[in-house]
Amino acid sequence: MSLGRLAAACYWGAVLALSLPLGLIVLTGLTDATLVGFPLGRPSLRWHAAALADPANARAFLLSLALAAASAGLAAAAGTWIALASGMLRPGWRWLLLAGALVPLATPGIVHAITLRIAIRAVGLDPGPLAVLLGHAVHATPLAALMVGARLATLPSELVEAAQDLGAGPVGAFWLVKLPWLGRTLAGAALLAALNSFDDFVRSFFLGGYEPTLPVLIFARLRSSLTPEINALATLALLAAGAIGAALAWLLRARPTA
Amino acid sequence: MTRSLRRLFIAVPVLWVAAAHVGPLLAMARISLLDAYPAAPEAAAVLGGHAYAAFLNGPGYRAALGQSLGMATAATGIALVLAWPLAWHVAMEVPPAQRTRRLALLIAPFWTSEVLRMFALVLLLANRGALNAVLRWAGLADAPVPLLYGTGAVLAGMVYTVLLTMLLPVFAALDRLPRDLLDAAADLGAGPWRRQGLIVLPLAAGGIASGVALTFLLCLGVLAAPALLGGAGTPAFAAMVAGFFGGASGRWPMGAAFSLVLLAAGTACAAALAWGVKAGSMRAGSGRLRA
Repeated sequence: MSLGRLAAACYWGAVLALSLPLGLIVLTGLTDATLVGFPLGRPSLRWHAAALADPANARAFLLSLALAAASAGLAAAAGTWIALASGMLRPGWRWLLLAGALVPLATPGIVHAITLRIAIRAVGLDPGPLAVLLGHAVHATPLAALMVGARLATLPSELVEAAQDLGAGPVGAFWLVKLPWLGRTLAGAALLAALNSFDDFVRSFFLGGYEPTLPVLIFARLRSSLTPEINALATLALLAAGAIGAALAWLLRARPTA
Repeated sequence: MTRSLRRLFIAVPVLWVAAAHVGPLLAMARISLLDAYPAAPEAAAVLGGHAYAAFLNGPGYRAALGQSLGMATAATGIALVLAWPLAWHVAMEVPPAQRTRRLALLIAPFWTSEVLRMFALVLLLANRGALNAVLRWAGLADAPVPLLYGTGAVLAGMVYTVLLTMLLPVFAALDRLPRDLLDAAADLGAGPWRRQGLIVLPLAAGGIASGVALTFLLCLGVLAAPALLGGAGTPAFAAMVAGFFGGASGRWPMGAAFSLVLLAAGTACAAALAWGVKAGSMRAGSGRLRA
């Protein structure tokens, strides 16, 4: 087999191997059996109805959505601010700021979650939605700063100079030139942050209070009672994450120009 | 903008990074040195290295860390070997117009939470899972084959958790590769495998190294895979560290010290692995040139 054929076979094999197990979540939920797995019972939406009837599921889902939206806004703002400020610093200081900004990206998840757990206690904040929100925002800020910084670096300096020649101050140049230039990149950074937050497990696990996010709730159910109701809940999480991911892919799709 | 406004504008993100990105690490370092936590209000905090001494002398702590580093190394290696042909196919063999779509097919499964991916693996590997159902249907097994709750399952879970982190830097490196060099090597008689070693590996060395370092660090921090797929004997230093933070806070200094040990050892190993992989990739090129 030629190298190219081999690589193509690996590619399609990987596409199947990575996606099909997720399909099992959906498939084994569409049953009337009381045990998860095979043999499948008769097709039924029984467990989806059960999942809908349990208010804890709806609360976790709505909490995860709200945290995703809020932490995405916070991370996009912080990342943009870091990128703008680093452009105003001398190289040595700029390097230091960016290195500090990237720390959460290079810290193993569990270590990062523990540092945040210790930090919120040090400032007197109890575990709960606000702590999770801050944790998710900190986790997503490095990527937002990197994406926005890379996009800002492609901004032709003549555009800013032209705006300044026409009387725009630094604030005006930001609103009229830099922000429109960032456009889709900024929205993409926010969506990526939202997806990271919606999917996050380890930070939510350490920083959450009594109200679990969706991944934490599914994790807890997986460790205790295994009924196909988890499949129904996980199917919902799959669909929501898939929707955010699809929006992200559509937003960051290859542009026809530059 | 006046000078003071400008300073204020710069100060806000600097303070955010200092307080939210770097500060928590320093807070953890401080607590790891405390002998009691929370420190009694009347007494000054007693600084000592008791938690670190406990790590060095405690039962099996060092071995657990070593096993976790080994697991992470294995998962990183598997991820690299898996990611390479996938990235190669998309970067080199797919027409540019379809490249984004083909890459998205690989990325889409990683839009989901790691918890969902681990659940999916449970459904694949469990006694009542899909693989066992297939084995039984094909008549290859009478009783369920235990595939879950062992080191192999955790390794698979780890790779399923982190593969994207390896795939993207390797793809970026291959995507940047100058194609005319490959054509030139082919014209001069180098076969496809030889071109991989002679040209592709040395030129992609940087991308491989950053993928290896990031993936390795990510592997060390994975909690869901060992918690959901591991058995009693599965090494999981991360789970051990997490255990210090359940219940009362008296054991926080130990947990903080163990976290820092994990971070320090992990960063050192990640740097060493990245360096080694990079040096090896570079040498692959020069060695064959001389031959």
